[in-house]
Amino acid sequence: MKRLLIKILILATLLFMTVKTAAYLCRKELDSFNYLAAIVSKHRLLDASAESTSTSRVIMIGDSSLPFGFDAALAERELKIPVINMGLHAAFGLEFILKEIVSDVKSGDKVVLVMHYYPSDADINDGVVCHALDFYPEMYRRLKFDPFSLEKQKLTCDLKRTRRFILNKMSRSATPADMRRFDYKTWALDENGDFYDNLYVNPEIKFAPGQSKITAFPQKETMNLLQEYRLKYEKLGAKLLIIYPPFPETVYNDNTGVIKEFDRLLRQNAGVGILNSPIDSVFRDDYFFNSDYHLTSKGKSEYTKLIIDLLKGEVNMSR
Amino acid sequence: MLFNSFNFLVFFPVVTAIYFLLPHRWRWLWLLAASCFFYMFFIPAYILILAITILIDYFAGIYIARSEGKRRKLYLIISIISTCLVLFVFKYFNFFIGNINALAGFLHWNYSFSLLHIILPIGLSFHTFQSLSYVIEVYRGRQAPEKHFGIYSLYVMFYPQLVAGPIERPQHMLPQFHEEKKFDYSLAINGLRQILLGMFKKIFLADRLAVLVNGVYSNPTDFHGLTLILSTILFAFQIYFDFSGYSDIALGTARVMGFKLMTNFDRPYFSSSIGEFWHRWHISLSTWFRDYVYIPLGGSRVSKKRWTINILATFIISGFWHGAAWTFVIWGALHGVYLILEAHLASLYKRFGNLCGKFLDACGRRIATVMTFILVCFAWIFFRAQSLADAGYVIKNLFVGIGQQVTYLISFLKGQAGLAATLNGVWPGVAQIDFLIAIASIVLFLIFEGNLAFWRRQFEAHKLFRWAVYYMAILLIIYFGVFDNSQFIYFQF
Repeated sequence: MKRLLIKILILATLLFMTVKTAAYLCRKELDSFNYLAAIVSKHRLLDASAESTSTSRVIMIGDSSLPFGFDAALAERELKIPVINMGLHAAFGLEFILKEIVSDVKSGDKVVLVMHYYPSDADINDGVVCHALDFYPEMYRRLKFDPFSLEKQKLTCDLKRTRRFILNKMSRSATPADMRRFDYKTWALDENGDFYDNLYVNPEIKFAPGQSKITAFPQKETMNLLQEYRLKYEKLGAKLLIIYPPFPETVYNDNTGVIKEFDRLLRQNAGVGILNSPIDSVFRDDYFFNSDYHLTSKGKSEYTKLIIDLLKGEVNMSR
Repeated sequence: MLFNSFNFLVFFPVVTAIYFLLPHRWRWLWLLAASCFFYMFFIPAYILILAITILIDYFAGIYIARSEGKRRKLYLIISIISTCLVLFVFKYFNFFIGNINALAGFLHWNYSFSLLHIILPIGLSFHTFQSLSYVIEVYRGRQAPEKHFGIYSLYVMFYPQLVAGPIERPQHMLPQFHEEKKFDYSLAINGLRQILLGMFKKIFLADRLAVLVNGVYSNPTDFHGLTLILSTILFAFQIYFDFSGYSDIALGTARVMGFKLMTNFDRPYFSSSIGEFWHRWHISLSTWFRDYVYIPLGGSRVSKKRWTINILATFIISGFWHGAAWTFVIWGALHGVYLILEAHLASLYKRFGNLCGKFLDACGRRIATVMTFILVCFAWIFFRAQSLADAGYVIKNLFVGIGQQVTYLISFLKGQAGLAATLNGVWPGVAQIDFLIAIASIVLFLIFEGNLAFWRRQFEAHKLFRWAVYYMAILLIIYFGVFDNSQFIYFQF
């Protein structure tokens, strides 16, 4: 058995070294314009707001409906407190979305979650999160892993990085830098972390409503996560709130049952303040850009107004 | 617990190490406990179902052996009915009720029976069949009843083959549990190699192919022509890699501990007839049906008409064993029909071979292999489709718009169009990289399995080659494998 164990150990060492070396070499290949690289500027905004103000803040967290559908600057002017739009990508998964700001939350903060209906059950080891962590290694510290989880996460991300590098090379998927066109790139985001409205005018991209069917699946994990993070935020003196995401009329009509069930589950189990009902966040189909949840300039203005109205009461209450 | 999970990566070495550290008299208990733990990873309460089946068949075996004449038969029938009843309730009840309700609706009768809202226990059909083989063998007098309840339980529950086979026979397995196993370096190495091969097939090949196949078969009406043909061919490979991968892991896991399980696959897609295919595909199940259904029905020693009925019945039951849906029944029936037609054409094959000499005989075998593969793929449509309507759509649209799609391919082969544009025309929405990996995996399969003996020789002869294969296989798994805890296809049966 000793002979076998030695051989397994040699092979494991060889593989470990290969993975680490490849991951190190691939680190140089990160595309700094990648959409996920926006996580860096978003966290800088959050840090800056913490340094510059002692008042409470509104921290918007969630999926891409936020950069596509929320005007943080307008909200800040209307609510008269700092509003930071941290929303970036649904595929990060709810766990990461809730966890990434925990170390930054201060007493009095309102953390407003806008998430997809039936949010992604992607866990923190998923490739998208790893990609974001590659851009922002500082995040490893903020996520406060235990030593075992940290090593596991780093190894997973090393593997994902090399894999991404190989696949990119194979498919030669480098996008030319062109700031005039819409793309999921950092240049599409303004200094507040919101998409530039003028990029929404792209004749090549047509939103076709009514094609999406939401597949319902058990949401035990979602509810558990919401409860867990509500308590964590509360311990820090902050409050977790939910606002439903913008959704196209046709798609909503096709999925009313599933959405209502999600709303029922949320109200019954999550224990979080829910500021509106799903129907309040439904907009005309032509307010949407390239997919459900992504609003055009007009839609963005309407949805921002809705969010401001919903938050006014909460903000005034804490004054 | 899934073989392709992190949990198993910890579970297997721990169980194996402790197994060898324990004295022989305690090993059965350790393996049984480990098997219970393994099974309870799915739905813990379902272990009770397994316990009931074990209890019934354990005592049935003892009573059958003690009795004679009609009483002996009675015990067998009670055992078979009660074991099958569990299978019926969990697997087939809703199918029957659904059909009765549909029929009542069709006849405008105001009947509607409610369905059971239960989840099918994982691997139920497998361990049910393994239990049945025990009582039948005891009844036939070919196996003495196992007195040791723990060893008998282990025969049904042995974790490597608990949830998806191979479906073992008592004569083969029970003596192995009584034998004292010593750690054997070469067995362990062979076992680990087979586990690696299985992991490679499942995580790298099958689950990558599943991405493409599921994309089409979850919504087939969005596709036509070549897309449907290609996805069906890819499914043929997916299911082979998935199930033979599972079997490899099962065999390898058992082998490391010194146990030998039945071989379940023998390069089935290189078969030159459907009959040969069934000698090479899911061997443990096809021999089960041969021994316990086909031969008791009379086998081939009956009139041609009766033989035709026997074959059809055996394959329809086999289809039904796979799943409680008409699609599986048709899949089984199709294979039965293939076999019947093949038997009728057999004499013609022989004449053709004699007429054309050796050269054409060799070509004939290749053509027959391709024909067999096409027939098997056609039947897979029913196996994979989610409903009869979907299967009907796929078949109706296999050649719709194929002319245009072939034009895209020709342009690509002539270098007039790029891969991305060609794929967009042939298989809209497919990721280039997934498609390339799928094609590469099939090429790899043809190279490897097409000349298995040669590769085995190379493998044994060259240490460096061996290590390079291990190294590359593991790297491919960790970099390009799909780690979404996807179940093995055959777990649902």
